[in-house]
Amino acid sequence: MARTMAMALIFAVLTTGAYGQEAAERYIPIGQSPGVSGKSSYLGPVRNVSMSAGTLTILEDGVTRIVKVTDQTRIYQDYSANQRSNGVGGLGDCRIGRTVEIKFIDAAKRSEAEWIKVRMNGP
Amino acid sequence: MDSRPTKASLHFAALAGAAIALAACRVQPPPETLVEKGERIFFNETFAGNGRTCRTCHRPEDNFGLSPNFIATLPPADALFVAETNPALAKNFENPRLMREFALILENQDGFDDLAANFNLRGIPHTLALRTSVASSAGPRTGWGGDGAPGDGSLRAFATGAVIQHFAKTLARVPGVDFRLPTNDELDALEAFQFSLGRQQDLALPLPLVSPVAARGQAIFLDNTLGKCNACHVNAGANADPRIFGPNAGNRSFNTGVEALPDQPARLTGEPVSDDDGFGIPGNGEFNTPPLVEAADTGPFFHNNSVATLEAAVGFYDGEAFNDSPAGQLLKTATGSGIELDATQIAAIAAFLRVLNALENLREADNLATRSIAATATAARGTELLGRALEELDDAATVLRTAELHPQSVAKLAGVRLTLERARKAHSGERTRLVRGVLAALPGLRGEMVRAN
Repeated sequence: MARTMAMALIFAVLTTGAYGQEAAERYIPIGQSPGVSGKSSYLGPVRNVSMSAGTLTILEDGVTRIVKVTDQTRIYQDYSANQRSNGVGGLGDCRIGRTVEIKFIDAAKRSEAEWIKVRMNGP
Repeated sequence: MDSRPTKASLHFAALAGAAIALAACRVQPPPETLVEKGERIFFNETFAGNGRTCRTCHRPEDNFGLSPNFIATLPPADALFVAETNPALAKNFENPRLMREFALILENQDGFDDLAANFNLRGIPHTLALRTSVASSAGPRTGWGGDGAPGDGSLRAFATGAVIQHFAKTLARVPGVDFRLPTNDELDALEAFQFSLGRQQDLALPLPLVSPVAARGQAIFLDNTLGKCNACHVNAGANADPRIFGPNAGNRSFNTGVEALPDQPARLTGEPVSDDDGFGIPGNGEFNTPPLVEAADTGPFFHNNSVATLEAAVGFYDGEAFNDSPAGQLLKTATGSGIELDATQIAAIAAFLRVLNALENLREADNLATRSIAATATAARGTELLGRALEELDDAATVLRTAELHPQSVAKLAGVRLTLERARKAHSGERTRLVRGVLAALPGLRGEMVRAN
């Protein structure tokens, strides 16, 4: 009984979806996300964008990375420097030269974005 | 000119020297610990927002949660009611009626794009025993959905999300204008304080309970063919049974069908109430598992405060909403049956949880009273700690009395309470003597509920 119960319930745990803790993230300015900024995120300019491929390119520690942006990736327009309310944006906001902060789904692989914040008031 | 010191100047110099020596010898209060700093911030810091603090919703007088009965005691100007007093927050920030009647707080876990339509109304989870309930092998679990924190999702980051959600002056939620975000130092302190609250470790069941009803409730609770409670609330805590979910399973989320309950009180009012999709964006219908040791004095129950009594909360698992839910179906698949309990069994499980709660109240009262003796820096601090200890004793009496449990102990609790009340009003020497008397009496009270091993 216990073994059957264990197998069924462990299966349920393994199929639990990814977490989404970022609703309030929208209003946290670039570089200030607790436990993320300065630790595991990328903060710097966009080097290239491919709307068709759904990717953006960054240069990190001398390494060029192509970061996948998916339907699940949240993109926030950061107007905090102008003391305006931050908004929800899209890949089109990630223009070359603009400063972005990227939280990766997997901080080690750094290949897919969980969220991206785009500084909207300049590079 | 005579440069010899006069008698008056010598006298002045002696006095000045004595004053300097006294100042040097004055006992400096010990430096503020991280937990004390966190407590000060938790209780007092508004983060330049609408006037709310963490304490606004997590009241120490109400077990670091908030119930409708407690809300009814608050003055109209209390910051909790900011949606009624600040025109900028009049719409889409709270539902004042549901807040007052059911202690429901408006949240925007699925985003802030459509505030009029995209919101949830949730009860306020207490912040007790977080040390035992946040960790999960799938990442930290905070808030009812388990996904209450931005950033890295930790309890440390939770305060940042709470300020954005609940402290804003306007719905534009501009940092530096509508609030300020907590600093890293403040987040460290708030986390340390919250982790310090309540139990620091889980129980080890079964306990040798004296009450036959509570003992039977414990047996049903632990029976994986009958109550099946222990599978998700191992040792009546918030963590999943490692024998079932694997080592270090920690806190887990489940869709138990609470949203499917018929006749939910908030919905009966006709006020707009959304379907709460729980964990994730969009949600998967799951909510994380709260600890049960603290349940009896922290109602109403479930994420939407849909059930007011502990007995009804236990009875929920006997109903269709649970047994038809994904979690209920899973349990049925795993064990061959759903949960089927009769009224006496439901009452027995609740009695067990009531006794556990009362024992925890006594443990915490002991802790607070002991700390009051050590709190030599200010008498006010000692008085405050004793006030909280009194509330613990009151809660113990209430959770037992409500179900006619341990009536002799309830009567004795009243006597101990009187002594503690006298201690709270007494001066230092007398206070310490009275508090020591209370501390000596508490093990006896505990012994009336659980036999010594």
